[in-house]
Amino acid sequence: FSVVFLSPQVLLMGKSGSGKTSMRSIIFANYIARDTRRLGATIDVEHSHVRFLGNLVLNLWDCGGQDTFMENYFTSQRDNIFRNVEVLIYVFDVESRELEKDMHYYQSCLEAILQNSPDAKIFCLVHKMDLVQEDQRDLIFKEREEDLRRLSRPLECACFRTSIWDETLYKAWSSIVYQLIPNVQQLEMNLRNFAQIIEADEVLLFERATFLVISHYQCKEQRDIHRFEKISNIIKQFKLSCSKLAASFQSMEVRNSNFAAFIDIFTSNTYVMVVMSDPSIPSAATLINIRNARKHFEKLERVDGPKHSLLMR
Amino acid sequence: LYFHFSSPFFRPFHVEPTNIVSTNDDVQRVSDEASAMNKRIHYYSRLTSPADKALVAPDHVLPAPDEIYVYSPLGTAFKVDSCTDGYGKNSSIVTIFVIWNTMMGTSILSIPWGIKQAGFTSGIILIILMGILTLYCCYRVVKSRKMIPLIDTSNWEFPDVCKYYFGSFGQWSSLLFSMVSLVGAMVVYWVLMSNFLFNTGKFIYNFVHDINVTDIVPGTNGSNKVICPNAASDHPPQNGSVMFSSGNSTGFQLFEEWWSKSQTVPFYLIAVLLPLLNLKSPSFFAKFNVLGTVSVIYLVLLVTVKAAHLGIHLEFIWFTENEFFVPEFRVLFPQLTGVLTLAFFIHNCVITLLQNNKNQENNVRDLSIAYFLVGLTYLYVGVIIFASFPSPPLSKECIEQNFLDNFPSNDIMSFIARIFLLFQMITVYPLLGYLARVQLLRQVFGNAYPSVFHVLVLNIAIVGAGVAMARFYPNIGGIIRYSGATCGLAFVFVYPSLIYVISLHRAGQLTWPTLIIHIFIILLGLANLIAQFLL
Repeated sequence: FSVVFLSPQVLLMGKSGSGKTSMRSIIFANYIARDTRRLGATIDVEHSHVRFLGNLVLNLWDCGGQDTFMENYFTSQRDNIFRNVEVLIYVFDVESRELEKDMHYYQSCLEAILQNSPDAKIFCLVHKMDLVQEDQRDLIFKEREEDLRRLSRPLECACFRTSIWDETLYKAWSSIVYQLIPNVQQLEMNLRNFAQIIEADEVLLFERATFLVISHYQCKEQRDIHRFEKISNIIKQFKLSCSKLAASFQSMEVRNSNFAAFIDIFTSNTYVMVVMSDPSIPSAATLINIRNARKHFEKLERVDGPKHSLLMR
Repeated sequence: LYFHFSSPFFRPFHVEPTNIVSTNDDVQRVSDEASAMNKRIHYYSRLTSPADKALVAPDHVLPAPDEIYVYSPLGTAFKVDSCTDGYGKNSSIVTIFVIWNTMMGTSILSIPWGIKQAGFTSGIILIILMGILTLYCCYRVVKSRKMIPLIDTSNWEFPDVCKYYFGSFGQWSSLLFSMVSLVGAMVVYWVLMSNFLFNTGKFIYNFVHDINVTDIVPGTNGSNKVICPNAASDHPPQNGSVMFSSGNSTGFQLFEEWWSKSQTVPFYLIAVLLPLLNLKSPSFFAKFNVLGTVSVIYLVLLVTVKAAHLGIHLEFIWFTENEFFVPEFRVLFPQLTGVLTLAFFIHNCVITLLQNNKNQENNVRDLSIAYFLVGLTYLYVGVIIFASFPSPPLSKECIEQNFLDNFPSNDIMSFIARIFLLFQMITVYPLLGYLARVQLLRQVFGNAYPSVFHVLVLNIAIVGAGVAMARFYPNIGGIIRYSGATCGLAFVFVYPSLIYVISLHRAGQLTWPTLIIHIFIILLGLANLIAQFLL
């Protein structure tokens, strides 16, 4: 017999053309080099090298395509595909004309999950919401959410409405990642203490691969509610540029007469961004503070380290 | 004034880079949503090859193109199509026409009166000189952006330039003078609308009830009647000599009581216009721009026809008064220059209008041609009305501040002119109100529509000013010259010259002749304003 050593995985599933590849590219800053005339479904046979939150692996699967080859492959490989799943993210195209079929495929995925990874967390994304008229979006989403909740029983699913053209995609994935961080509430409390001790205006904690904001603390009202996504996009764009030079992004300091911001590696899963509005505090002081805090936070994370490896069967 | 909402919209979707070197309490040029979308689009474009359409922003997610409104205080107001590919697509002829059309408007009604106040010869000379002077200042406005180093000024309008040079004082004074021009224009409109509505109603009533009215105001006899309304103010009509073919006199007296030019009609207009002012977006009214052009052309036609019937009545007396004629040179000439300042005013939006010109190198030439045509139109109307005013029975002093008042209310041609103008003004009035509201509220409260209450209070104030003027001081010549000289002081005379001198000084290229000439221009502007109050 053989020992299969599987990393815990995040499944990103949905009908072909529902927007999964674009979503992955955007969230993980993956360059998509592909033909616009896609010849077939996404067959993610080679495991993508997208890892995040430690050693979670992201896998994409097209589910319910027209291709009978795909159908057969999917059915025969089902148990392998659905093994050791931490998270299932299922993407629905809001404009799909085949609602019945979509629900059918979703349900068969759920069955597979129940059999192979019953502890998995389920998230449903109602995607491409920008194609719906603004005044109808809430209504349509509520309808879908009710249907999905009903169909998912006895499993629980969390639903989000998303579009790549506004902040909803970012927020949905941030919420998903937030729920995946072990011990996140304790992290938040410590973050708040840290921020208050060093007298920072705002402190953000990002997931390392995606720069999704896991947690933040701010000591006064900030005007721009879109700032998290903007920072994430800016840094990911910068990372793309760095990778072109075969360099990897590590840290950044931005300073002017009104503020100083520091972005640096924090723990093995996170980055931190500290914003100080007192420019008289020298950079070195803040950097030392971050370094010391790092040790403390790493200990917090290490406490839960073993939890991950326990999932490996 | 001109103004640009939130982010400019060029292809591809472009937002000017945010300046993080200095923070100030500027009203944000770019909304947070637009800025976030901009970053998103930039980032997505790095994720795929240029040929891949998958992550290209579809039209429905991009912010709607800005609504750019352009107006000249007494001319017309309309919506400018934002040039989507960064280049203008209007030929020279179209640009010239657009500039002419924007400047032309109700100021044409006061030009004959202005010529009368200044004297015939000096009036003509002044129109030509003021045209040239305002053209030069307009040229300075157009060139003002180019002298600013190191900053991308490609979507700046003149108030932005003022803010650059004079800081927050420049910003607030721009707003103040712009408000003066807008509110002044709206008050003039209210007075004129009351006038035209009154005359239209009177015509219709007389026509329906088949009444032949001979007012006791002095006028010529015959079919092309010209009247002198103000001469009657010395002997107020106790019993108008009115001949009725049918109907009775009590009905007529009731009508005169309820339909009075200054007592009641200004109030009736409130019912129509106050609701229109409260609308959030006036883009519906911007479509009626063509009414302005039609009105002006019709007025020119009317003037020509009347002159053909009345003939020329000119007598050149140089400095002394005469019972029927006015001297060629009069002390009251500043009243004409005050009116002309507003008649030739386009400095607030000339940059926007020229931006759509296909061949940018022809801008100065096209602007000059447009000014020439505007001056020609004013000269034609002013001179023809003045010359053909039947002077042996009537005095030239009778020329009214609104020359249509010199034609009786049963004159068909002027009835049609009044209807055209009435409709045109009803469509431009909400646009002007919208521009005034947005500029004022945006700068003071940071938000173009803070609440229904704020907007209502502002609108009632503006309407109230209009009604009060129509009731107590319906002299449009006076209102035009006061507001013209005031807002012209800033935007025509002082700011363009001052900015030019300062920019030359900063570049180290200022010479004494240039300095003296421009100081002279500024002093002219000041003298223009002061003279309005002294004479």
